[in-house]
This record gives sequence, C-alpha cells and structure tokens, in this order.
Amino acid sequence: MELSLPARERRFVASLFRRKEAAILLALLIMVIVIGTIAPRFLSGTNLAQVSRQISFVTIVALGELFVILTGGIDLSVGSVMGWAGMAAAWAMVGLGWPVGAAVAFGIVAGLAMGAINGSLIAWVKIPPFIATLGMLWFAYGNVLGLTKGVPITGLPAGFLTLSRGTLLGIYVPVWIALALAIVAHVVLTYTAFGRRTYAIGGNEQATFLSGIDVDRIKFVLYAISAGLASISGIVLSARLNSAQPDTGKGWELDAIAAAVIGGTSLAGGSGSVLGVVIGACIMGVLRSGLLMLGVSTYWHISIIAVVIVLAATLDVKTKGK
Amino acid sequence: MPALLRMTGVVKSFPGVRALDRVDFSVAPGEVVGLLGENGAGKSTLMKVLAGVYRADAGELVWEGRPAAFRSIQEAQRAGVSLIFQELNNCPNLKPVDNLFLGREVHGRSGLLDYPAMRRRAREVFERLDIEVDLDVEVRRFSTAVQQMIEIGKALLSNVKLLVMDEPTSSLTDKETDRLFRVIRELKANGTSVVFISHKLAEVFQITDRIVVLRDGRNAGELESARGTVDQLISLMVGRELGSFAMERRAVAPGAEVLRVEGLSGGAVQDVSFTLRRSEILGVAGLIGSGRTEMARLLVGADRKARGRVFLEGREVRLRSPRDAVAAGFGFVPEDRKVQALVLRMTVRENLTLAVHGAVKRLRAFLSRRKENALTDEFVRALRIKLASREQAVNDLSGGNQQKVVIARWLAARPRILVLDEPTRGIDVAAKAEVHRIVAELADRGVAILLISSELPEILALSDRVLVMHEGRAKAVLEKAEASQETIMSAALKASA
Amino acid sequence: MRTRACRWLALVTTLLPMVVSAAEKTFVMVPKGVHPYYEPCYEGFKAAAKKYGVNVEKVDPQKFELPMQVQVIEDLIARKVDGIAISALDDAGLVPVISDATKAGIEVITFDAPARSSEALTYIGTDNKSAGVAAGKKMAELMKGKGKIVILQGGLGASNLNDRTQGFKEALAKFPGIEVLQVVDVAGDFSVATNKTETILQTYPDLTAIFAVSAEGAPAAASVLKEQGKGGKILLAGFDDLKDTLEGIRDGTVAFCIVQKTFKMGWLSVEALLAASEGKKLPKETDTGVLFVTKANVGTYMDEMKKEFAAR
Repeated sequence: MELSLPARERRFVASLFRRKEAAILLALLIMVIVIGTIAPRFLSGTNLAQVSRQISFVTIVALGELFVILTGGIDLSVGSVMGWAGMAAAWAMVGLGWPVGAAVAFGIVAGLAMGAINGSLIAWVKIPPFIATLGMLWFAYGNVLGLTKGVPITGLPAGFLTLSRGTLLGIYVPVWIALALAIVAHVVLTYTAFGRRTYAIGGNEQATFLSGIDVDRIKFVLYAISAGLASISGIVLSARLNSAQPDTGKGWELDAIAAAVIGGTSLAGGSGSVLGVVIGACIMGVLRSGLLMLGVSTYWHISIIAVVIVLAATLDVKTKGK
Repeated sequence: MPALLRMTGVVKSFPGVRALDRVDFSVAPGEVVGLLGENGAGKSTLMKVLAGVYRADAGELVWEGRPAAFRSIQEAQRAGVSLIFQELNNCPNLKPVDNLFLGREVHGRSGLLDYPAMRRRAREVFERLDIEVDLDVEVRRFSTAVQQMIEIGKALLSNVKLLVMDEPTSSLTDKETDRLFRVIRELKANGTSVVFISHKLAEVFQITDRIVVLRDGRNAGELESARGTVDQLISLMVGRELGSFAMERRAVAPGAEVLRVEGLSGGAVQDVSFTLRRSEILGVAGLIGSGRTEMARLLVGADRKARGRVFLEGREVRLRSPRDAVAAGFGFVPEDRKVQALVLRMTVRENLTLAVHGAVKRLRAFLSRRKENALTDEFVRALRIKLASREQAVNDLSGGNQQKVVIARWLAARPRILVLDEPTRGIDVAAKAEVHRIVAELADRGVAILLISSELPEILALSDRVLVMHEGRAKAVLEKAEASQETIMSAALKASA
Repeated sequence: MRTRACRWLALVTTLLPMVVSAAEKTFVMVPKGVHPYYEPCYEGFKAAAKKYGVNVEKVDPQKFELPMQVQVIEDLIARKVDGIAISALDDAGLVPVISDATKAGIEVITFDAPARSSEALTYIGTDNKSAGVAAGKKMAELMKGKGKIVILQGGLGASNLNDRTQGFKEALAKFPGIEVLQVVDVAGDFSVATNKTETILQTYPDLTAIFAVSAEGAPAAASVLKEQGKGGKILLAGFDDLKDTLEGIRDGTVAFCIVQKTFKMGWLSVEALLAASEGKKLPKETDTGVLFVTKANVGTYMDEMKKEFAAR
C-alpha cells in the first residue's frame, strides 16, 4: 500500500502556515503592532491585562456559539441567557444568602435549563434554530425584566467580585476562565467522538444519521453547552459590573457570532475552530479599545469596526483556498 | 413522408461512462413512437440531447429536413420540440395562466400584462384538452394529472411539433390515462408527433405506432406496435452477453436464516416480505420507482415504517432509527454516496471511522488517533483504496475509491447484515470488479447481503436469490437457477397477472 | 307620601355615586418604558392624585420603542381617559397621536422628555441644558479651574444627553485651564462604560476628572476607579442617583451626582393636567430643576425633595 510519508517536522511547520487561522492571526498581529506604534501605552502590561479581560467575556460566549454553528445551527438567545444566569446567581447570593460557589452553580444551572429548552425544541420538535433561539431571547429577557422589574441586583458579596477582580500571575481571573474553557472546548472538538460527530453533522447530517449516530441527542447537548457557556460569561460579567443588570448581555449574541465568523466558522456548518474564535474575539476587542486609545472620535468607531470585521471575514474566505 | 426528426450517430459521454454510443433515432410527422430500455439505457439522455439540455459529443440532428443543433431548451422549444419530464416543470405557486405563458407573456398596448387575452387563450387550450381548470387556483393545488395537462397546454401554446413525454402515466389513474391518450391521439391527428417513454408495456403497445429499444446506450432494435409482443420487447431490452461480469465463485453456501421481514410497508412500499440467510446474497431488482431504496430505508430505520415486523435470528427487533439498526448489526451503503454517505470535507480516515467510534476510543470519550490510523490502514489495504494519504479530503478521491471508503466504513463495523444500494453506480469497470470481489468475500465470511442494483448482470453475477420489486411490492423471488435477465425483467415490467 | 320619598331617596343614592365618580378624573402617566427611574415620578404622581382626588394609572410601553409608545397612547384614547402625561420617546414621531388625543378631548402634557413639535400643552421636566451648565460650574469649582476631563455619554444620538453635554461644555469653556479631551459613547451599557473607562485611564494618565451625562456612567466609572485604587484621586461625577452612584458618594469615589427632581415632575404633572381640564392656560415649560447630591445630603435628599410638596 502506498502512503506517502513526508518528514514529520517539515509537515508540521508547513501545516502551521497553511492553517486557515494564520491569516486572521496575522491580521490581529498587524493591528496590535500598528496601534502599539501610534499609541505605545496600548502595549503596557496594565493595558494588555485589561484588554484581555475585556475580551474574555465575549470569547466565552463565542465558544458556545461555535459549538452550535458547527452543525449549521445558531443561538440567538445567548445574550439574554447571560443576563438570566447573572440575575439568578445574584439573587441566590443576595436574596437567599447562599455562598458564592453554590450561587454560581445555581446560575449556571438556570442557564442550562434555558439551553435544554432550546435543545429540545430544535432537536426533537424540529423547530428551526433561528426561530427557537429567537423566541428564547425574548422569553429569557422577559423573565428577567418581569422578575426584577428593571431594578438591578446589587450588594453582591466581596468574595464574588474576585471572580472578575482577582489575578493570578498578573492575569485576571476571567481571562484564565476563558482560556481554560477554550482549551476544554478545543480538546472536546478535536479529540472526542462527540466533537468529531459535531463536525460530521455540520458536514453532512444525512450521512452522519445513516451512520448510526444519534444526531438529535447531540444537537440537544450542543444547545445546552451554548447556554451553559453564556451563563458562565454572564455570571462573571456580573461580578465585573458589581451588579446583575437586567440588560446584561443585551446584544451580545451579535458580537459572539461575529467573533466566530471572523474566526473562520462557516455559518453553513462543518468548519470552524476554537483558535479561530479566540482570534476573532481578540480582533474585535483590540479594535474597540485601540480606537479609543488612538483618540479616534467615537462617532466613527462603529463604522470602522464594521469595515474591519467584513475585511477580516473576506480575508478568511479568500485564504481558505481550495 | 420525410422525417420530422432524424438523429444519427449520436454520442454522449459523461465522466467514466458512455451514455450514448452512436444512436440513431427518427420520428415521422404525426407518429407516436415509444422509446424503451432498462434503467440507464440512454433514453432520457437521448431526449435531453434532442431538447437542448445536453450537447452531444458527436452525431447529426436533422429537424424538418434541415440540419440543426439546439443549444438550449428555449431554442428547442422555439423550433417546436417540447419535453415534459417526469418531475413536472410547473411553478406550483403560480396560477395556470402564469404557467402557460411563462416566458411567453402577452402584453397589452400599455406595456402591462394582458390578462384577459391570456385567459381567453388558456380557456381555448383547456377546452381542446377536454379538461376543466379553475384559472384562479394555484397550480400546486391540482392533481398531478391536471398539472401534466397544464404542461401539455404550455407545449400546445408554443406550437409544438414534437412532444416528448417521459413516464407520463406513472402517477395517473386509469381514467386519467385514458384522457391523456385521447389527447395524444388528437395531437397525432393534427400532425403533431409524440415520443412516449414508459415502462408500462401494455400502454406502450396501446398508444404507439412504433417502438424503439435502446440497450446500454446503443440501438437494440425496433418493432411495430401493432405486430410486436411483450416477449420480443423484453428480449430486445435485455439481450446481452452475460460475460460482461464474471460469475463470482462462491465458496460458502447460504446458512441459517438471519433476517426475516414480514409485511414491511410505508410510503411507496407495500407489504414486502422476504428472508435472508447467513452468507447469502439476495439481489433486489426492479425498475426505478419500484421502491427498492425506500424498502431498504424502512428496514434500517432511516424512514418511519407504517407496518411490518423484522426478525433477527428469530427474535423480533424494533429498528426505529439507523442507530438501532447499526446496533443490531446492520450496515447500510446508500444510493448517493456524495449526498448520503460521505462528509466530503472530512478526511478519508474520518469518513472511514464514522460508524465505529466505539472501536477507536480511548478512555471512553476520546478518539485514539493511533487506533484510527491502524483501522484506516487496515481497510485501505484490504479494499485496495488508492489514495495519497489517509488525511486526504475524501472529496479528492475518484468515484470508485470514494465508494470503497463508504464500504470500508461498514466493513469496519463488522455487520451481520449489509445493505448495499447501487454499490457500483458511477464507478469504473476495474473498481466495479473489485467491489464485486469484496462483496463475494464478505458473504463467504458469513455476512448476509442485500444487494440493490439496477444492473442485471451485476445482480445475476452475485446473487444467490433475486427479489424483484414492482411498484412498491415484492413481485417475485427467483432462485439462482431460474434467474435470468428475461425472467427478472418480466417480473419487473409486467403488471400483476 | 312615604313611598314617593323612598323612591326619591333610592334614585339619589343610586345616581349620586355615578355622579361623583364621573366627576373623578383619570390621568395616566406614560413613561418611555419599563425603568426604575420612573418610580419616583409615579410616586409624585400618585401623591398629588391623592391630594387632589383624581384617579391615576401608569401604563408602560413594553420596550423603549416609539411604535409601542404610540400604541399605548392610542389605547388610552380609546378608553377616553381625561389626561395623559407622556415622557416622549420622540418628538416628530408623536405629533400625530398627540393630535388625535387632543381632538378626542384629552389633555396631553409631556414630562421628563419633551415633544416640542406636538400639541402637548406643556413640558414639565429638567431643562437639560441648564442642568448641564449647573453641573459644569460645580465641576469646574472642584477642579479648581484647571485640568483634563473626559465626558461619558450613553448614546451620541440622544438629544437630551446632547443638551446636557453642550451645557456642561459651555460652563467649562469659561475656564481656559480646563481641557475637554473626549466625549465617549458608552451606548447606555454598563459593561461598555466599564471597558471604556479602563481604556481612558490607560490613555490619559494625567486625567483630572470624569463626568457622566447618563445614569450608567458614574457607577461604572466608580467601580473601575475603586478597583484600581484611584477612588477619590480622580474626580468623578454624573447624572442620576442609581444605588451604586450613591454608594460611591458615601465612600468618596463619586464627588457628587445630579438628581432630576423626578418626584416634583410627577406631582406637577397632575397639577398641570388638572388645571388644563379646568380650562386654565399653562406655561410652555416648567423647569423642575436639579438637585446636587453630595456626601452632606446623600442620606436626606430624597425626603427633602418630597418635603417640598408635603406642605402644599
């Protein structure tokens, strides 16, 4: 049998360059260098630490979005679930007096419940993901408004705040959390049967189904994962804001999806990577902070960010080759 | 009388297969010609060349005495050739008038659509066709028969001289068929010619003047409808040397019963029953539309069955999804590998191991790349799959090798029963022979095989028995000794005695 | 004789409540949407209603969206209420529906946010520009006339916020030693305000002060200052009295906040609607003014606001 076996090292380096993430990574580096040159303070240790914390929240949500987009689905409810979970955790601490750990777990479970509803509707009732999660967006947000009457929950215990204020080796806790979750996500997607099947469903759902794989159950789990990750982000974000705001997370679904798409995730399903998503989130975060630091008038920020997002996505499409 | 249409020496090839090999075909004005042949004989291809859908690689076309070459459907239509496909070409959401005049709208002086004029002409056409059509209802609400009439009406409005109808009566009742034939006779009386493609032999004899038979892309012969017989027709359709596929020598005789299916029904499939034994290859033959794939899908749980019982080694099983089937020991190689079996973007290794993650796991949840590699290499070797690397995208492989990857996927699962649906479709001769060898070896090793195929030589070369399906039912089960192309075709074509 | 008296009595006792309740007017408050900001407004509304003997209600548009507010008002027209006090989401957009209400005989006024092109009889609320000016004066005082300042604005398209910023900048312009570095858009979002404050502190290490013209700015900036240990070292002040802003005042991170007299807005709205229903003419606008909250009065300012009306 003929199997060509090029030198392992040569193959590895070449593959690094061919990786489709190389293009957006390059774009990110160029951006950082340009901004750093014009405004050197951008590259200071303090600022980089802060910017990475700012980026970490979207990253976590975007990871969840990656899981569902890989199967050709989408989760529009992540923003509302962030607020819902944050509120649940805050209420457990302030209203029920629970310790931080239990309250955080409670918040995550509350978010997972919403994800389970999404998953059931999509996997078994066969409602299109767009519609099911759009409904959940309103449902979760409406619940938050109804239960809080628009009043934020404040007075969160100091221990809870370390979730966002604490540092380890000079890096903020939320960044560590995002990093850890990214690594777990990468391992799951790349090395487990579950991850392989997720990609397979996105690549050809029929073929995966006929190969004896329980496609419905996998979809259910994916939407739960998305909600779970959004919950974690929402809870840590509440720690940062020192309060559970009803509007926490509002509009974040678009940021999360944008980060995933810039990172090379195909909305049709079947391709995308954790590394790409992380780079995508970094590009957006660096831009947002960088423009402000460059003194660019705020009036223009949104347009500039939009242009860069489209450019990054185009760059990614063009370099995917084939 | 000079011919209306004369096609000579038409050649048309697609990658890997020569669909038409120097075919001649002619039609006189006012003549109804039947065009017959097995699946894949070339009938549809020939008509599509005529109607401008395909461009022939070689050959001549003479239309109304002048050489012509239609480069598009519109050109063919303008010349007077109209093709009515099996899958109707109406816009279901539009109304009859819109469909009739699609591309040929009538405008009034103001430049806007002249609906009153169009409606008037529509009513005239439908009167001629002897049919009542409510002009204000969307076409999708009408029955297939009426939709077909609307298509014919469209052809009439374009002054059709030659109307080609592909399997027109497959979804019509007897009454509707009679009405259609009345229309065809009327067209004939007015000098319009008709090409009638169908598998329903009785009808062909009824409505046509002459019957042309194609076989393997070549002319097989023709006969006059008034004087021909069904048996003559069948022998023209299948008379080929059996030597095209060597009979696969089988070392092991079929053993104990491993699968019994009783009364399987659902969708187009009605009340199918059969048994399958260890080391047995049961060929499943029948025309397109006879329900073979549908039956297979019901069996493995890909579609929900309405009724029926399945027994594995004597014990009843409920297979509600392919997952259940795979767990019970089934393997299923679907008809369309690109759409239904392969994840084209993924590598050969990933595709090959798709059904057997359990066998390549480490620590319960993780996939062991080492085990995957070993498994892939093993089967690549066993099936002689030609590739550059197991990390190649499966999309880059040739059709034959792609098919081998799909088969390898199921071999890796070590099934008790393997269902193969058109396993050698679209692959070259050498690969076909290999697949046959693999199938025979599998059977020798104890696997029970259900082989669905439209290629009779293939069925005959491999099968211990042949199940012939017709219009969703199991028409006949032929033992090896009785099976021949003629007997299979007879069972496949003839309506119930 | 007795039966006739009884019948007359019965008539009176059945008719009297109907006559009395017919005399009781119904005024409805329509805020921009669901938001705790309107709670004190409505409290003032209710308190005045109690004093003057009118019925009051509050109907919130489900979202801060013009079509929803229009729908709420149309429903009230159909219910034939006597008066509506609207916190206008938009100016031109409300012209038609306010006109319809007026034609239906309903008294319409605006509070908190005006609709100057419409037929609303009066506007009762903060004059945002003069509020901005007052804030600017106080800030300049605290900055001792020199230094660098950044303004946080929750949305660059909001006209009331633009008015405040304009007034604020005007007041600061009188001090050549003070430089306004940037007006930063924080989109009314807490986390955006937090992120941007962080970046601003990195960009301008010699920043003297931060001022927020919308509610979410001060608490967000306060939490960042506290985290970095800069509370009290950089002057911070802003509009509105969210819980965390008041916290910030108590612990010294926030120098002062400007509170709109929301209770007064509610109270005066009832008075205005009543006067209008009695045919009296109303002034075009009433500036309810602002109140500065500092460490000195952070505990008592709410009651002070209400005391103004308890006497009446």
